[in-house]
Amino acid sequence: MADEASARNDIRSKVLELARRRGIKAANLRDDEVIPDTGLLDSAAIMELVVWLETRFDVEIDQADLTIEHFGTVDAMVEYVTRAMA
Amino acid sequence: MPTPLHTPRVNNNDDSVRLVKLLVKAGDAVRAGQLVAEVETDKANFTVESDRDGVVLQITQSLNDTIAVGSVLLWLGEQADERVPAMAAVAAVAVQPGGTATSAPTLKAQQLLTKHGLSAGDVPARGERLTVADIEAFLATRTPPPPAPAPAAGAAMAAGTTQPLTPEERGMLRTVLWQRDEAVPGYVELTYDAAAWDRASADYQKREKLLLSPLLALMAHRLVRAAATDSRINSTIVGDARHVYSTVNLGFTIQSDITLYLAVVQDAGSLGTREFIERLGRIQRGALAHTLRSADLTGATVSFSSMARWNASRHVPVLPPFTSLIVAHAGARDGIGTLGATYDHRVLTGYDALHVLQAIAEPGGEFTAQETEGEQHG
Repeated sequence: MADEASARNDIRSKVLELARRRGIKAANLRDDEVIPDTGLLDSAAIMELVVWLETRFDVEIDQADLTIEHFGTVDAMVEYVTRAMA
Repeated sequence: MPTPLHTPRVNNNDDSVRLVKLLVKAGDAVRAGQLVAEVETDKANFTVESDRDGVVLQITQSLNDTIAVGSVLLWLGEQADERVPAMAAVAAVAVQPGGTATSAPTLKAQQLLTKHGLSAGDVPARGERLTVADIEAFLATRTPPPPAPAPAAGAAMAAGTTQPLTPEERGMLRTVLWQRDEAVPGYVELTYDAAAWDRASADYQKREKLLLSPLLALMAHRLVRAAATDSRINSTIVGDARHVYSTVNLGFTIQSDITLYLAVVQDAGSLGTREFIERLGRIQRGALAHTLRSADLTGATVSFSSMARWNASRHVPVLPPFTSLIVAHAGARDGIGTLGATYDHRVLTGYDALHVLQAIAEPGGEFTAQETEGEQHG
C-alpha cells in the first residue's frame, strides 16, 4: 500500500535524522527494533518524534497511547499512523 | 444588548499584551469558547476565546498594537445591527488588573506606559481617556532615575547597535528582576544515588510499558508530594504575611527550540503518579509544538528544572516569580547525581529546602509493582 510505504519511509528517515543530531549513525536500525532499547533517541528526541508524527500525518495522539506497543518501533509507528489516518 | 469582551490577563506580570492575530471580523457569528484572537505576552502567545454566543459588532483594537489588560478587545451583540456604546463609556468601564475602574489609555499612551514600565492605574487622567500628555505630565513630576552605571574602569561603551529584546528574553529579564527585587534567594544542594533512581525509573517504565523515560516526571512528582504535605513549601510571602496556595501547581522548565517555557501542571497534588506523568507529557508536547495555552504557563507554586539533557553537572536556576523554590536536576557522573534548590529565603530556610531535596533524592520502594497496583485500584 503506497501510503504505508510512504509513511514508513518518512518515519524511518525522521528517526535516523534525530539520531544523527545526537551524533549517532543508525542506518542499520531494523524496523522491528525497539528504539528506546537501542539508545538511539533520548526522551526529548522521542517526544520531538511524536510531535512530528502528529504534524506530518495530521493525527492526534493520545498521551495514554505513548507506549512501546504503539510507538516503540518503526513498524508500530507505521501501523498506528496508518490506522489513525484511515 | 452589546457586551464587551475584555483583553484577558494571561499572567501575573504583564499588564499589557500585543494583539498578533484576529480570528474574527465584524459581522461574524461566534460561539462560546470559539477562538477570536491571539495575543502575545513576554512569555508566549495565547488565544482568546469568546465567553458567549453572539455576533461580532466591532473590533476595538488594531492588529500588532500593545493593548492594556482589561481593555475592550471587541464588542458582541445578539443581533448584527446593535449599536456599540460610545468610546467614552468604554473608557469608563475599562478594568485594570487590580480590579479598579480607571481611564483606558489611548494607543500611543499605552505604548508610552509600556516604555516606562507603568500601568494605566499609575497615572491620573485629566480626561475620559489617559493620554500621552497625561503620562508626560506624570513623568515630569517624578524624580529622575539615577544615571545608568558607567562602563567598567571608566571606559566608554564600545560602539554598537541597540536591539529590542524578544518576548522570551523580556520574560526572563522580568523573572530575574523579580528574584533580585522581591525574593531573597538561597541555594543548597546534595548528591544522591542517581543509579538507584535510574533503576527505579527503568522498572516503572517497563512495568507501565511507557515509551518515554519517566525519570524526571517521577522526581518532579516527589516534589509535588512534598509541597502537598508541607504547606510552607507551597507558599510565598505577600507583604508581611505568608500566602499559602490552595493547590500545588508544578512549574517545569521545557526548552523548545530557542524558547524556554515554564510549563505548569495545574493542581498536580491531586494527581496519581501515572496521571501526573501523562499530564506532564501532554504539556511537554504542547511546548515542543508551541501550542501551550495561558493556563499551561501560569500559576506555578513550586518548580522543577533539569539540565541533564545537556549533561550539565550543576546549575543554579532563577526562581520563577511567586514560587518558594525550584529544584535543579543535573547530569550524573559515575552513578552519582546532584540535586539543587534555589529557594526564597523569606519563605523557607535552607533546612526546609534541603528536606525537600532529601525527599526527592531517595527513590524508595514506592514504584514497586505492588504499590503501583495499589495506586491504580486505590
